[in-house]
Amino acid sequence: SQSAAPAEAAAYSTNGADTCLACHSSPEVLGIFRTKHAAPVDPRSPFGHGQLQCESCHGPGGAHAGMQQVDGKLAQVIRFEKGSAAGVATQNGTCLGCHEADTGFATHGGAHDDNDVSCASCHELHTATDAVLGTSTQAGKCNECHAFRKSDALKAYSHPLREGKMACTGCHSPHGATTENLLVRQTTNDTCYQCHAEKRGPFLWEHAPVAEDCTNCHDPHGSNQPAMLVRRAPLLCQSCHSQSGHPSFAQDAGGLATGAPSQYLLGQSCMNCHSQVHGSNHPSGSKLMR
Amino acid sequence: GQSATPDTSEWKCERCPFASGYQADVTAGSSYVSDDAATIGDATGYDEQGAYVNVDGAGLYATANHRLSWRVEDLGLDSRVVEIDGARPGTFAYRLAYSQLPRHRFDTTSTIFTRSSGNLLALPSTWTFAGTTSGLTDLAASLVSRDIESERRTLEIGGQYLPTARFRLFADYQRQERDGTDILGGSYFTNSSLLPRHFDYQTDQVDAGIRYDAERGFLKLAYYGSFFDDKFDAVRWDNPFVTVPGAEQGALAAAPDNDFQQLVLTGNYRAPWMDTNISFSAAMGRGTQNDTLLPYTTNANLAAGALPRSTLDAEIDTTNLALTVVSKPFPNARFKFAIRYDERDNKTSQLPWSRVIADSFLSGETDLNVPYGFDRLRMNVSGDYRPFETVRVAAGYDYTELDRDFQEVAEQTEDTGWGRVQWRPNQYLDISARGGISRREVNRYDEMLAASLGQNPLLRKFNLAYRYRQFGELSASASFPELPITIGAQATYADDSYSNSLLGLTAGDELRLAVDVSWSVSDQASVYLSGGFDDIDSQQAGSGAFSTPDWQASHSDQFYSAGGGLRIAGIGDKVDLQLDYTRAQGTTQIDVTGGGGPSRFPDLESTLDSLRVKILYRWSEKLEASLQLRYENFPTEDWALQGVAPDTLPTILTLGAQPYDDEVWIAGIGFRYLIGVQ
Repeated sequence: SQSAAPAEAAAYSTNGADTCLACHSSPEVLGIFRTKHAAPVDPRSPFGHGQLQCESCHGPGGAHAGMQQVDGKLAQVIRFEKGSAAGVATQNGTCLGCHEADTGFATHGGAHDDNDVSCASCHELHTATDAVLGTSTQAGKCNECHAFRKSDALKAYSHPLREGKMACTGCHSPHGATTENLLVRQTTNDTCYQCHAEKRGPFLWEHAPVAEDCTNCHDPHGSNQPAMLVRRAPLLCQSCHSQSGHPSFAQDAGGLATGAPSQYLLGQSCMNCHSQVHGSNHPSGSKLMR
Repeated sequence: GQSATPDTSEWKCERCPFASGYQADVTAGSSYVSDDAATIGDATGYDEQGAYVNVDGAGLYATANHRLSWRVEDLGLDSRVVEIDGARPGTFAYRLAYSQLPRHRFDTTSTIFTRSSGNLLALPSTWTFAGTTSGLTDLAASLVSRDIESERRTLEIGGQYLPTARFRLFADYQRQERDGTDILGGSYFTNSSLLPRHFDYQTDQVDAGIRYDAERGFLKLAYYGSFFDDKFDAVRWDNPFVTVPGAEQGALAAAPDNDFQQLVLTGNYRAPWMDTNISFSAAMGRGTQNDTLLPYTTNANLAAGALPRSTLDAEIDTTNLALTVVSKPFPNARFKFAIRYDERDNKTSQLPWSRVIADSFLSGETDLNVPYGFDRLRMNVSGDYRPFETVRVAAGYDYTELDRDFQEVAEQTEDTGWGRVQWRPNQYLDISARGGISRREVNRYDEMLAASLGQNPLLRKFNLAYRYRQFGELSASASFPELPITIGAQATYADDSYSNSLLGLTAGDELRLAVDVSWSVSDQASVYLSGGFDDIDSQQAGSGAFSTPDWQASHSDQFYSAGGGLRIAGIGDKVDLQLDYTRAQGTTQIDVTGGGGPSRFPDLESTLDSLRVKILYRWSEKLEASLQLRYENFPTEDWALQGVAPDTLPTILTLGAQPYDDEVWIAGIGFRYLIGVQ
């Protein structure tokens, strides 16, 4: 890149947005005027009274026709896209100038910050609706980078992300959090209990791995196995239960419907009888059968 | 240098088309679904053959001081969403949202049970009891089709108020109702019935708090309350099998009403030195459950004795503390320190309970309930450095210590070291590689406790076992200055070795690949292709003789996905075309050797073929018409269900659910009308 002697600080335009809109008046630009960024009555909005309108984010545009220094590179104004002369830190710094309070909690040092992800990689400001904010469109935006999650959602058993009826932010806080995997609640289980409170208990008879971490048995992004289990029952159960008798017997392919049908293999496998696998509140429920 | 602040008094914004007045777009249309299909209807609402009328839309009403926007989606379906958001920007905002989510699990199931009052699953009036399913002579005549389906309805009311630029009050209330039918095994000593259990849940959640935003950070104090209510206390059913006298009707405990309340203080401070950011979170919570307990048994012939108490009065105290510090002592170097402590302190008292076995006979034993609890400390330190503008190297160390009550392992630690290099030679190429190892050690596996629980002392539970993990990730994205093509590729690999485990999980590994290519052919047209591969393998060992290993099992989950799509806008200035095709195939191979029978199971398979085509025609500036065609084909092979009729298993009366084999065409036509100034 071409480095030049530091230019004199660029000046702002003379008429603000009216200057910019003389040239930039396509629908792709004007969509912003249907959003909260263009609310004159909001003193915090770029178009609020006394604010700098387009130049709040894009920086001084007075010298737009000429050249202006951004991050040591010759550029016109700050553009929020891949390949912009303004680095990710500059782009994000501009957004955080107003949104530090909204997003600031652990944004710095969060996973997206660690990977140099720019706010504009996820957010679209110049459109009437920002896809990443809509439940039915959010996963499509996250999947642009999180390709593994995109294929998980195609697996036989997964949350309804592919149908657009659940958003990634139902469980994750993309701006950053001090929790594991940027979860919205303090722990994995607390996050799952938002929609599955019936499994919270505390129960009279608890199932230890359930009370500790749902992902001991389930892959919340999707799996080939029913209920998004990480392995098919009975093998999943037998990797922790070795009591003498049926828990420790090898259940091989002789127990299929076409052979000697085995109650430990077919139907709901172990849950044919131990149906209270998440815990039981029945006084006689210590084997999770009541 | 810093630009001089301009005099904006003359910035009239006359060209600014601020939203004012009313503008909306509404799409109304109808679709025809070619077949009944549980899996296609799951979450969409298109579960039955036939015609559907549907409405989508969004609108905005704006004045100088107020904005009110609304959005409706799939209004004509069981998966309808309605959202209303209003605000006086900068002062207050409010939200009202309603959504429904249909859950269709099986439409191939049938049952003999009919649901009568008090959530009792009753047998047919004429019923012949027997010891095994083959003796249930009235079964065939009594079976009635019963789909396994449910619905979740969520109502949300929320708002926030900014009394000053620095203070923000917020509150959000959400009511979730979930009711319908799922499957629950109702067991007797030697046999069991899969019950079409009806459930009716309600969860009320409240998030409320106050936030103060200072110049360099903020402080937030928030309350979270979650209150779960189960309309039923039990699931009662008439036992279809010959039983011990008095055990003709069984009862399973329903999910107990419970609540969880938490106070969370979070804060963030942007220190002026070394570009340092400090964020912390401190949460104290309490969960309680005090439902009236059922009696030991429904069998009046058994002298089961009194319960030690009529309710459990269970109580969990949770503590969650976290501190993260990120700092840039040098322009090109950044350090991060994060420490987190999570505790689940189960204060529920331990009491002696005299179990009755399946309402059939007294166990003669006393079981103490086990109030599991744990506390976990996680700490990680990492640093990254840019030796050159295009290269970034990072390394980190994570330490986790987990202490558990009442389990085979009291203390467990895990040390993880990782390194990462990222190379961005220009705006067109980004390559990153990360790798590391992780070692989980357990202080002592209490084989005495394991034996007291009837476990084989040689077993090591996979979440409590020594584990040595090696992992690596590689990602690359490339675009081309002269070609409007972007390519992305990702790969991860993890290998787990449980080398101290003779029984239980002994090894596991996962390999994942993903690639996607997108090509912006022109301003109007774009094409994309994507593909994914996932292979998750695990090995485990067991002992049928309750001794050293005498059988082995391997479990291999493979998953392929491939997709492509085409977007063409403005064909003849009038027509937009959108086409997406996806194929996703899951295959699970299971081998169990040492059981004496055939070891290789038939493959468990699921194949999804999904085609979506949308043609949009702009009739006028305000009216658009659209044709939509959707094809979904989802055949599966599942030996756990294949050919398992209600009476296939001698001792289990199942619901006869069959593997999914759904194929559906959905054709639809819609008209979108724009209202107001766009």
